[in-house]
Amino acid sequence: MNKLSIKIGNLTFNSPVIAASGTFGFGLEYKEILNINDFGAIVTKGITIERREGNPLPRIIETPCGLINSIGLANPGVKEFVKQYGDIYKNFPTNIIVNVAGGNISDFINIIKKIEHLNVIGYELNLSCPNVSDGGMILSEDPNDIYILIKTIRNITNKLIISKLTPNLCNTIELARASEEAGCDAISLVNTYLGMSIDIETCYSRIGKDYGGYSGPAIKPMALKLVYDISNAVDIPIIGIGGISSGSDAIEFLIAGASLIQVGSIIFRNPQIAFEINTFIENYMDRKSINDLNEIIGTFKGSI
Amino acid sequence: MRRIKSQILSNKRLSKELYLINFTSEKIEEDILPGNFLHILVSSSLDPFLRRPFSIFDISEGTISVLYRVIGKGTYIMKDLRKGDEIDIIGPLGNSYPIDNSNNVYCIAGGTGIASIHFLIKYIKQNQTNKQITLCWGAKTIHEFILMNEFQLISDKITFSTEDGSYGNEGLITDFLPIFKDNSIIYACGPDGMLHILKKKPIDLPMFFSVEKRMACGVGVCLGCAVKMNNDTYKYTCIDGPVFNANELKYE
Repeated sequence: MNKLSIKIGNLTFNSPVIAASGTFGFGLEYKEILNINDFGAIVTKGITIERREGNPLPRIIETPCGLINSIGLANPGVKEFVKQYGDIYKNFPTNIIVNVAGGNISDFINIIKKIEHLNVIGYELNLSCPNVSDGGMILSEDPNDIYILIKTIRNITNKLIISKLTPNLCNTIELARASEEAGCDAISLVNTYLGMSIDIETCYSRIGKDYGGYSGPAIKPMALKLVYDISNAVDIPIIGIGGISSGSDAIEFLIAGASLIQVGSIIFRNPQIAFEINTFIENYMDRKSINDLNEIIGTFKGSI
Repeated sequence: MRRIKSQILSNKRLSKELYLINFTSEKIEEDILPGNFLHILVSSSLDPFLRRPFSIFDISEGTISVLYRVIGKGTYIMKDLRKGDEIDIIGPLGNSYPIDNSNNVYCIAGGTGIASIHFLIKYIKQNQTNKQITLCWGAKTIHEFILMNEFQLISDKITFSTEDGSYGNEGLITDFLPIFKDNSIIYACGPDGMLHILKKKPIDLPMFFSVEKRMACGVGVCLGCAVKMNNDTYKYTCIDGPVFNANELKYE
């Protein structure tokens, strides 16, 4: 058996490395320069009911060791998504997870009903886009709303349900617990941190909105801390996200309690990152005589 | 599109802020057309974090040249690269200038926009020797006019302008355009301000702009390098561009 494989329920991931939503398109864009099956799964760009053009320009600004984005869920809408990718996903080199971005419960349900027949293993619920006023951000603040949303979705699908949480609220633990109680299969976190960048000559924001979503290696220590906290608060698997840029970063998240990890912004810089992380973890496991990834997960020992 | 490790062959300072870097191409130059760009990672440090998109100044067998202005963190590191140093390149990316059968070609370049125009003119001269090429080249100041002999050689006519009047006409190049002949095509590459002025002019000829936008991925996944179209939708510089028909673009 592949040493790097890991299971969530009855689903097998050939690698713990997943491409994060919004950083790998719909799975094919990078195919000329990497092996897609280096990733255990691909999470698609967030899909909404209707097509969205996205936010005003400019949409990205680099900051030290990271970037702030204000993309605004630009996507073709669920109908066009099914038309364009339904057939492609019938025979795809790795698992596909669709990131679903609804503004309310009925949006989520309508989107999932329209994609339930596709050959995708599950849904990552975008409860936390920082860049749209009618997106999941509002929904995600109340644990009761999260509970009802996920419970409702649980009733219409047996596929994997992943609750993607924001790091920008104080009650992340309550949101994670509500997700678990409602029957969610896994929690992914963190989505981007809210961040700003100001042009001091013009006093305008350096992106098209006042603030955006901050990602990249700069957020890794904060994300790691939250992944650690949440993995201690719930029993369902955690998918760790936040500035992971190397094999060593990935293992830190596994030790902190994540069962899988997502890489995002680093893909823009190094598209072959999944291959590099896989190789690094294999070597690490050999060196430590570890045969199963589960032997790494949640082994944090605290401080000496 | 390929990802290559490339060796620097030379990195010359041409003027105060402009440099010309030449590096090995590992054969990707065979796929390069005028207008395409490269996404270059200049440092193994995580700061700067992102690759930088550069248009292509020139290609020869086995090598590629990029003209750049030292303007930020990435290019500041780039200027200190020496022969033998390695850079990480993804490319070629983006579309190319459409080339038609017009008798006359007008190229309008502003600042470092001259880079992709240089390659375009050379390409047209090599492949369609009968064309009349007019270059209209605007810059802030005289120091930005680099490799003048070569431009004189490959263009049939050149008009210069500088904003400070230090060379050629004083003012913006868009104020010194020739009267365009019929059966012509116009290509322009430069700052948004220049393209905006061009777009507003009553020009009844095919006109193509190569635009510059900040981008993260270069392959159409991050959706950061959006440009607004006339119908208020967006297209993306990295995959739909960088060359757009001027009619499609909206400037506000």
